[in-house]
Amino acid sequence: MEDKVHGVFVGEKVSKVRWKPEDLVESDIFLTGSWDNETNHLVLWLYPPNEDDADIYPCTIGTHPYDGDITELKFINSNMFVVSSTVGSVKLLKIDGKEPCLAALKEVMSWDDIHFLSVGGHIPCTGLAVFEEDIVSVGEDGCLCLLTARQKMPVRRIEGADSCSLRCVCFLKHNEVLTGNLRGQMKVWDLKNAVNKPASTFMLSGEQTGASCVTHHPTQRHMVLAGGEDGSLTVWDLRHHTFPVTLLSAHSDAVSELQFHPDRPEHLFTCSTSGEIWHWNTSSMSRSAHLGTMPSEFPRDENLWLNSDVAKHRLEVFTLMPQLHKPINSLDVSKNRVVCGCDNEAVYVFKNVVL
Amino acid sequence: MNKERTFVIPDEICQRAGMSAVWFPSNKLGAHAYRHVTAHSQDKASEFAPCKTLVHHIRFDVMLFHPITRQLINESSGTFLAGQKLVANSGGTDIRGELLKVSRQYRAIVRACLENLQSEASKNDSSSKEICLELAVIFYNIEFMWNLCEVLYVDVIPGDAVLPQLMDWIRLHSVHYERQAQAILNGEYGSSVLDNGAENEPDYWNTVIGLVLQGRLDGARALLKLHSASLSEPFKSVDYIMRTMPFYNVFGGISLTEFNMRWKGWQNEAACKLQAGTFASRKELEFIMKLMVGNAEAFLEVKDQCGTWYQFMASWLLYTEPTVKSFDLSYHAHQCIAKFGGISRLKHSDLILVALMESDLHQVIRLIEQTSENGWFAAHLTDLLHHCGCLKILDNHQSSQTASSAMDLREQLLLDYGTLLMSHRSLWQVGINYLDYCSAEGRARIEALLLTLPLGSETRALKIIQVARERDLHHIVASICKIMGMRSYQQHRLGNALTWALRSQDAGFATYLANKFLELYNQEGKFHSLDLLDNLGSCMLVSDRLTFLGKYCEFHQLYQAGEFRDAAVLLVSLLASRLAPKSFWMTLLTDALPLLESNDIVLTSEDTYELLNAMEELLGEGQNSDIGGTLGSDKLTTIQDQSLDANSLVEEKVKLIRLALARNLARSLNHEGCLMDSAQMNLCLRS
Repeated sequence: MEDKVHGVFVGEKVSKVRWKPEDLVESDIFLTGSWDNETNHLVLWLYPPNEDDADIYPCTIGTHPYDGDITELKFINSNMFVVSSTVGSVKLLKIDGKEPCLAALKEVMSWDDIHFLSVGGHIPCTGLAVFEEDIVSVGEDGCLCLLTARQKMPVRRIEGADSCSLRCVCFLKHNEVLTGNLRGQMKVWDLKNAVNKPASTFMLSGEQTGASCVTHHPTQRHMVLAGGEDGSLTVWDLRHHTFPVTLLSAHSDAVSELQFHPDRPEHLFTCSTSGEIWHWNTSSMSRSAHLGTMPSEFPRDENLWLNSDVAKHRLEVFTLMPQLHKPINSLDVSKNRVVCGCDNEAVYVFKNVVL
Repeated sequence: MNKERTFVIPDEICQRAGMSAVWFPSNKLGAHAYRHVTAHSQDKASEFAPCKTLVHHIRFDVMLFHPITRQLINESSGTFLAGQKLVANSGGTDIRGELLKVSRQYRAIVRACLENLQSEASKNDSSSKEICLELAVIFYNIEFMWNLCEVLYVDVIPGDAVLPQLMDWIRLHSVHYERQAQAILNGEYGSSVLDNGAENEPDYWNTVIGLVLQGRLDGARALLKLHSASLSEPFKSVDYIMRTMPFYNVFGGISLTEFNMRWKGWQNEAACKLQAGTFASRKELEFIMKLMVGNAEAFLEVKDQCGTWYQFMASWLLYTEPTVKSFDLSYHAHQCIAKFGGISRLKHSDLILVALMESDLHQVIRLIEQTSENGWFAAHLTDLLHHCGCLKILDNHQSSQTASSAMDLREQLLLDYGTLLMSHRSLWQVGINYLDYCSAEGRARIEALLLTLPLGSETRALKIIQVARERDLHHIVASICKIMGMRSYQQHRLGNALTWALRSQDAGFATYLANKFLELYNQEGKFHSLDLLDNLGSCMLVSDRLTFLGKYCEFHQLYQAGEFRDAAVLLVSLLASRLAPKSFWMTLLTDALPLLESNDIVLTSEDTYELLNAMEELLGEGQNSDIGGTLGSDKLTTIQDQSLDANSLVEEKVKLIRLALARNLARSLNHEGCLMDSAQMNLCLRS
């Protein structure tokens, strides 16, 4: 398995990594953002898809200095992406590349200081979520900011959406977002509702464990998966109730990012500050479910993550590489390639991940 | 290196008044204008006032923090950790083979770094060209010395015949002749070589001799074949001798003695041919043969061609004593150095090589420490040698004092290197890895340094906490949480402050914040951060005051939900358990008013007694203290101003509550009496 890993040292701790989405073809460019440096950088990497030649490593094709630690990167289309940083601003940038191995990043729009303190000064923006051109950002000030790529003015600010720092956010529907805070309180916000009150509130767990990341199932958006600071994974079915359906203690430290495979949602990838990167495969379960070997206990159309008892004993988990000594901060999946960025100032690309 | 360096700080006041400096944690100085004040100096503004005073922050420019070498720092830390793990898991078994791999990995990392530095330096527009070249020289030397060290100390060579490895080392680092030979071999002479012979090439013989000296006999033979007379007898003989020269190979299947016999036989044969004048017609070939039979005079002639004493030594040994043992190297080294002008003409790196050959590892490490790459080399090499047991052997025949210091040496170097990394804004995580392996002082150093790290965003703070928690440094976790909490508090984010307080189970801070919440409630009549307070769960048990706050919020929730009975029970229990702070009792009693006055009887007679009891207790104390419902002393002054108003207001309130209590008592007693009666009647009927 190890021979499929290509690691490159960047010289900066990597906080986020994202494949550039491509239509129809496989993506060969990814973007990294760094943190904890005097000047941080956005770096574009080229990693051409190659069959057998094992010795092609990702190479840089463009860098762009950036103020503050980069906390989130999200593409809104195949060459525009939004960046959030610890100086409380969100920026929209564009990849401007005429030649294949030389690209420049250009700022298109900037929402400065949208997260700030009542006593003055800015405060880190901790997360972003995008739904087509709608962008929602959350910050340590507990504020939820709704932006759109088309205008400079924020569409809406929910001041004091949370009395704690918000740590993560995701879109459930075009008008619904879910936020998670430092003490594990999850809130669903209906953006159509003019009142600044959450539609529902629930806790990640009984203890005050912060939510570090949250995502929804690619096809079944009512199914929400959150990673906790203690390394646990919690699954909810928001159609029914707000109690967790499944609670798995997974990593030994905070889950830093979790992602379903966009095209093959039976695969999940998680990484953790403990230096682990895992591939969760539930396809064998669904296969057997389709074959009818588990007739009674396993309804055919049921999502496997939502069937707690079965899931717990039947999940197949693989580690993509031996445990690192430093946190793995971010990962992204594209087809059968996974890329992750770590605090040991390296990015690792796994090719030919078996799906 | 006792070199002093002077730096000028451009500051006028400093220039006129004098200056002083204070150490910051790790590697930083704060310099400012200063004049000494004694008991006799007058207490007045100095003659420089008013002026703009500045504090200058000065820090070392650490070469190692250059973007390219930073990759080396991180990559080598991975190898370092792998090495430590290897040792920890070995359980006493021999892991020299594994350690050799680690050593090679380190060298590969240095080589990769060198490549990056050279490619950066070769870019014309590069602003850091000079520094890259400088670093490239430093790291070239490191790799060069590390390689020798690996040959002599890390690699286990059966029979201790080090020469083959030594030759590899020389060949790897001096590629001049090989390149020349390549140029001649694939040269653009084309057919002219075949017509006129390659000897017309000016460097031809030099190259051949150079190759012979490095033991690259295949190359030399290939070159000689290009000579126009290569088919003549002398050339054929040389080719034969070169082809048949035995090379010692540990895994060749012959013993050292047998090899020695073969080798002697070979050299005798060559010497015979030489004496018989086989090569007399060809001066160059004769000279080459002289070298190959180990003729000292011939060797003196090629001294300059060897370039350095160690290359000379290796060539000399190759043709005189191919099975030399590593402990004999010191003797040969000194012999050769004498031929090159004596020890006084040696450079710093030469001294390290000599010390390596003399097996004086302490001297080696001491010399390495003086090279200017900020301790990377010394720390990693010493660690590796320590695990190979080389430093231990040393201890045995040194005095007991140095024996203990040898152990410390590794630790001291790791400590220094780790501390240096900790001083960097971003590399602190790497630094900690090194400090982890300093058994004596590492932990204390980590404790001290972790607290000096600037916290920055919450993400960073959480990462620092994680590091502290992994090492069971709970007091550091607590103090970081406290700092984060205080920061939130100062930013008027009480909710977040409380979250941080709860994270570290900080009862004192939680109590303080709970008081703040209650105070704000008293002022504004509503709670802040209700989303937090309503969902405290078991966390509220951290402090009594917080428990009260949580329960009080619950009371309001119940009340708003219309569950009056439950709300009333909770309220009474808050008072009866004395969980509520005295200053808040009046508020609670006031909250009880609507419950007392409601149409249905919510409070039982017993509840009412409890309330009455609390009321009396409060009023009894109230004569000599303020009962106006304040918590903070900062509000006292305002209360005193309006004390008359407030007092009459309180009296009014007390009256109302008393009335309500009395009425409720009457109603509830009545009601309970009726219930009792009916219950008794029921009993009678049943019996």
